[in-house]
Amino acid sequence: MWLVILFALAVSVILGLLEYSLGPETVDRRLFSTVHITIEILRVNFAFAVFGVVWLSRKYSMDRRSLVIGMAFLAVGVLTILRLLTSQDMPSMGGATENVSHSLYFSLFLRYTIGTVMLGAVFIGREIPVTARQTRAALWATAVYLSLVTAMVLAPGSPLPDIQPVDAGLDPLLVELEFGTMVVSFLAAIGYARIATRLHDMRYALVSIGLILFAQAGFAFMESPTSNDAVFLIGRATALVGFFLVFLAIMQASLHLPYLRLERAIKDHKTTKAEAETKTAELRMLAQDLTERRLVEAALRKSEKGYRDLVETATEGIWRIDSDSKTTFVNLQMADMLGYGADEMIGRPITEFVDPDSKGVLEQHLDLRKSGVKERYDMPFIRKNGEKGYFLVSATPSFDELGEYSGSVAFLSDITERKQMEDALRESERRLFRFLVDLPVGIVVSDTNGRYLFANDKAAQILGKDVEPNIEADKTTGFYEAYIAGTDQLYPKEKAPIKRALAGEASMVDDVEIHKPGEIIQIEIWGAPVTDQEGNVLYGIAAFQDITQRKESERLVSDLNRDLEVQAKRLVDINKELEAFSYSISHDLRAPLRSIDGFSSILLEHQSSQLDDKGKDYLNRVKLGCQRMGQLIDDMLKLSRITRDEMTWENVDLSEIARSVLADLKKAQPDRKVRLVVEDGIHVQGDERLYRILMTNLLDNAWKFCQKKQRAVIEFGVTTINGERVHFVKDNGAGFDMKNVDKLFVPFQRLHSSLEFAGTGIGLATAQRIIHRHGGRIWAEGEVGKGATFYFTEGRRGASVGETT
Amino acid sequence: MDHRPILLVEDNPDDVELTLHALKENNVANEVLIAHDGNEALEILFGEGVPSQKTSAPRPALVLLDLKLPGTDGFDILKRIRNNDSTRLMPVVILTSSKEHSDLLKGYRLGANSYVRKPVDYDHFLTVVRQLGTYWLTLNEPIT
Repeated sequence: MWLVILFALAVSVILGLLEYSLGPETVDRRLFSTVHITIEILRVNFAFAVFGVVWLSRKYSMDRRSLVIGMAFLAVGVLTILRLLTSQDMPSMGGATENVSHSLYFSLFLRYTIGTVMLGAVFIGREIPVTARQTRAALWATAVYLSLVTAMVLAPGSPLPDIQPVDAGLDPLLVELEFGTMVVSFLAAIGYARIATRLHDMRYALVSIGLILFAQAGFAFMESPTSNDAVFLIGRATALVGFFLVFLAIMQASLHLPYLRLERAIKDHKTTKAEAETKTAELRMLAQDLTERRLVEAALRKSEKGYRDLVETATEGIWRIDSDSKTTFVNLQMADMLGYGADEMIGRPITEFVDPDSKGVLEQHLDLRKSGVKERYDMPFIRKNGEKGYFLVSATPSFDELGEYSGSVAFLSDITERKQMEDALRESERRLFRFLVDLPVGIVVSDTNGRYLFANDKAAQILGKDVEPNIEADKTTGFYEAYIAGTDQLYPKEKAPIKRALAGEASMVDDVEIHKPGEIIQIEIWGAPVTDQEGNVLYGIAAFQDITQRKESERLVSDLNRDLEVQAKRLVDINKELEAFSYSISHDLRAPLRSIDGFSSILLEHQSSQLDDKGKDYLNRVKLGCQRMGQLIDDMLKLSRITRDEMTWENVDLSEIARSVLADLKKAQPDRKVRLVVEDGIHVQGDERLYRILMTNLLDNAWKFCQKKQRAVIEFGVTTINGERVHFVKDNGAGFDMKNVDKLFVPFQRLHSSLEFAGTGIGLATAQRIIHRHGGRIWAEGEVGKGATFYFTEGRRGASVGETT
Repeated sequence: MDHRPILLVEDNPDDVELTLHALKENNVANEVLIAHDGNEALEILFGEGVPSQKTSAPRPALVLLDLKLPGTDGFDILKRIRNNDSTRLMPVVILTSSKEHSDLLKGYRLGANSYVRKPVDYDHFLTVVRQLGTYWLTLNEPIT
């Protein structure tokens, strides 16, 4: 920029020098005028051009500065015309050939106008827009100014002094004024130069150069003494160039630039439009996208919520792991099932939740995931509290876009209970199976087609053949050689329990024979159907066992029973006989005795005179014998009655009986002094009558065998021997030798002769019979001369020894 | 003293002999009618059967009845006696060697006045007979 300006300066300087050196070279008048007028017209053109451009582009690029410049150049144009018209070259137009002061003044005003306005325009802010009003105002101002100036210069009474005539050279005042315009123009030029550099704007550079040239033109004018020489013309030409440059600048500013801007704007607009369209399209797409996206988002959210709800409310646990088998997600249910909080599980590998034994198995399953296999399997997991729970795992692997394994998700359901039940069931089945196998009974299970599904070992053992699964139930009887017991007829299959079971009937038969090589066994068969809930038969079960032994035993038992019955009948008969016998005895045996005794007595009585002592003695012995026999008969009868009669069971007071018996004895023999010691309150359960007989016998004996003792003592009491309650009757009488103890209770077996002690020897036998009927025991201890003690225990009902009914 | 006859129903001849003897020993002078079995007894009492005996004899003052008889047993005779108006109130003493309680019960149930056991011992027998005679023929008020 500055270079151009400096160049302009240089040119000016050169021109100046040239003009200085030229001196007053007069030019041919006619040429001078032509050139001068031409230049002036051109100058006017350019000046008006400047104004014209500014005015015409006022709508688009008018700002204050350009307005001012435009107006100035309008004024300049007008002033230039006026100057021309008033110059020497235009005498017809009023241009004086002797006095150029009008044109000089016009020239002066012209130059000042340019200079000051241009200088002033420097300081106007750039690009301050003007309103239409301001434009109109400026126009009017210019018009007013022009009118004033014209009036001032041309009016005859003008205060402006006359300036020198044509060839007189310049007035020093004029020179000073001209100098002034030069300075102003120069300053303006600097100003614009500065703007130009600051803004890097060529326009302002052009203006600046124009002004420099304009200033130079002033210098030329000053150097031209006559104002119609070559220097003068050079000066005018220079000023013309200056005008032209300003015109260019204004053109730029007001026309080019705006058009450029417009063009740019249009381009911009076009771009913008295009951009806008793209943008709009984009926006629309975006909007569409957005709407779509929003819709999609909404749908997604809804679906997500749906899924989330599904995940969260699933009764199954959901467990997500990444490619390292680390937990990335567990739903609430899953966490609960293991007793953890969900956050406790996140990040931990799934293998941490199984016990060490199962870890290997789990890892195998996880490997399958990595190979893309989805599967369902059982796995025990350890809960937070250490409990083991069984879960059914349904796992699916997932892969990313590159086909790499990215983890898997599994559904888990708690089958601990089911597993426990299964285990329990299996255990119970095992037990059942073992039980079935161990049963001493053969079991076969047949399906509805008659095929055998199951048979235990015992079955084969009993049948002597393996249970063939393919033998139809119909052919069974033949195959296993089952016959009706005791015949050669094959067992009818309609009767066979397995067949009947399949028909829905439970049955039992025990008349089946199996002919095995070497033996015939009898079996008992139970059959029962197994039905479903609707009652349809699913299986038939038959259980059978070898009852040969049993049948044998049964036969034996029935034989025995028969024998027993016979025996029992015989016993009854015997008893009846005994009864009859006893009855007989009480009559028939006595009668002869009576006769013997009777007639013997009569003989003794009435034929004593014919009898000697020996005869009487013998008859007495006969009588004695009869009495004795009578006694024997009585005793025997008594004994047998003890055995035969029915017993009653009641509470018996032995102490009371003892006392009563002893009292009777004492009454019968009041002279005997016997000390009686009877323990009170001894009770037993049994037959009162029999116990009375017992006590009577024992106490009678004691009483009898004490008779020779001075201080006889008879005791009755109860004691404990070997933890057992034992009653005793003790006396200190004759006693007995222990070596004879076995003979004590034998009927009629006596240890003393009847001369010593009366008695038939039935007492103790009776006592024993009574005790045995009560189920007790009786024994004795004695010492000769010291006494005897008889012990007996109380029996229990039903425990009687040798009871006969 | 009731002098009417005593009816002795007894099949054993020895026992008959002993009884007669005992009665004589005890100065019982009443006539003793003897029936050896049921038929004879019934005939004596009711005039049935063979009309060889004296049927117009006066009613017995006392019947000494043995139980073990051939054919009709003592209980049947007792029944007949008690069923017949003319003999219903007649004193019947069962004189038997049976000690069977059942016989005793049956005897009383059928209406015997007394039940006495014949002892084996003759001396005792004498006592029994005396007591019976004293009681039934002297002490006891008969129906005539």
